[in-house]
Amino acid sequence: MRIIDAVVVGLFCMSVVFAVLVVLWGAVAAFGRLIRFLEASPLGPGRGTGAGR
Amino acid sequence: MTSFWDTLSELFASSGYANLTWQALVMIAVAGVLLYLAIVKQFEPLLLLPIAFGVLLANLPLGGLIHPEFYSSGTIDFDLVFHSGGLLDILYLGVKLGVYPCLIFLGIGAMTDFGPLLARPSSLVMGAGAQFGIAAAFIIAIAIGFEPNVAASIAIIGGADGPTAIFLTSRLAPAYLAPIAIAAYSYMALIPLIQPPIMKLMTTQKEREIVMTQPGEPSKIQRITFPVLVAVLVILLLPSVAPLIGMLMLGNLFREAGVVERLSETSQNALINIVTIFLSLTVGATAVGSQFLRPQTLGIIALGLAAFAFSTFGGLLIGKVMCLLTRGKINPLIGSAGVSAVPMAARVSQVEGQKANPANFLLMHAMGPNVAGVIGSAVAAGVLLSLFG
Repeated sequence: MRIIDAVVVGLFCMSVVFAVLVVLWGAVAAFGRLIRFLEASPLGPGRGTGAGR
Repeated sequence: MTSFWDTLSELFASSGYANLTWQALVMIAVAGVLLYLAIVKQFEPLLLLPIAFGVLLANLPLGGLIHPEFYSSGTIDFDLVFHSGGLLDILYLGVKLGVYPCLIFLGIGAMTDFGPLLARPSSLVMGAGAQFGIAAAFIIAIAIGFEPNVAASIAIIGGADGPTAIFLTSRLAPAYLAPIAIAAYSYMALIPLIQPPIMKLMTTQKEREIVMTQPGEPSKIQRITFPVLVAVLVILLLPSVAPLIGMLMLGNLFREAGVVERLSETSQNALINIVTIFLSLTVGATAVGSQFLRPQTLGIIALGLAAFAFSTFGGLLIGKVMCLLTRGKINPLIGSAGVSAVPMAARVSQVEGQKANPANFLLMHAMGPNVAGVIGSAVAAGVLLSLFG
């Protein structure tokens, strides 16, 4: 394998790692917000059961 | 009387003493050094001690515990292994088939608290940056003249994750398993020596003094859904990492679900301990003198160090970028914890942070990039496996 090919492989590897982890970042952050929103909404735990009274 | 001496002579000739080669003697000395490092210096003793004893056992002639030649071809002759193999040949199947690293990942998942990562999801980017050493070491290894599959196996040392390194090497370059595993675990033990000079070089005193605010605590639902979310997203994106990420996330679900205490307990204690014994012993046993003592081994050891250094550099670089983007709210020292090596790398960030500012407590902040690094190195291994497997 030529060095230039190795550089391409190295950059590709790093790009995929970054892409996967950035997708995860977005998903985890979005999911966290969704869960916090649902917990604060009438659908949240204890809501509608009279537990808060 | 003559026959008595003949018998003695034959006995000696058939003993291991008469069959000792210089390579075996050197490897016995190497085993002695590794045992010293494990017992006296306490360098990763849980791993290094069984590895060292495996090296010792494999290099005592005629013991017949392991036959590396059984595995030199690409395929496994199970008939040969089960009928003519020794104890370690049978145990080595778990390495060769990639079973042990995945079971270790199950235990690591059960032991890992992803809370700091959930509290600050941006840590994932630092975990990605700290895989830079993998790319850098791969390029250098190719430049030196290693074959691409071997270069990829050497490069994964930069992921600072033993099971991942073993998983990838057992598939891409099994003949290099021993030097790569020994280099990976040795450098992990040496992280407190390798990282601080690079951390000081890459950061200013002012940056090291930054005190980070405590992020909110993730909810129980977030903790439970995280392993399912990661497994689905990552495995769909990169199917080749399914064994590692799948087991890691299953272990974490055992921990967080709260309904399978016994499974969680077993995964993080008994199971991981048993598998660690089998894995370390058999990996050490692959270090047979004739294969281990070659110039490439020195190259692997040097490249492993370069990979660790570049990974630390990459993590710190992303840490500095995050520090800039957040206007000084993130201490760049936590970036270096993005090399996996849980929790050693996070401890180094804590120690360096406290040296700069005694009121600084970076440990929990550094655990985010640290556990992100485990996912990052598994993803990198999956990419390399897809390319060269």
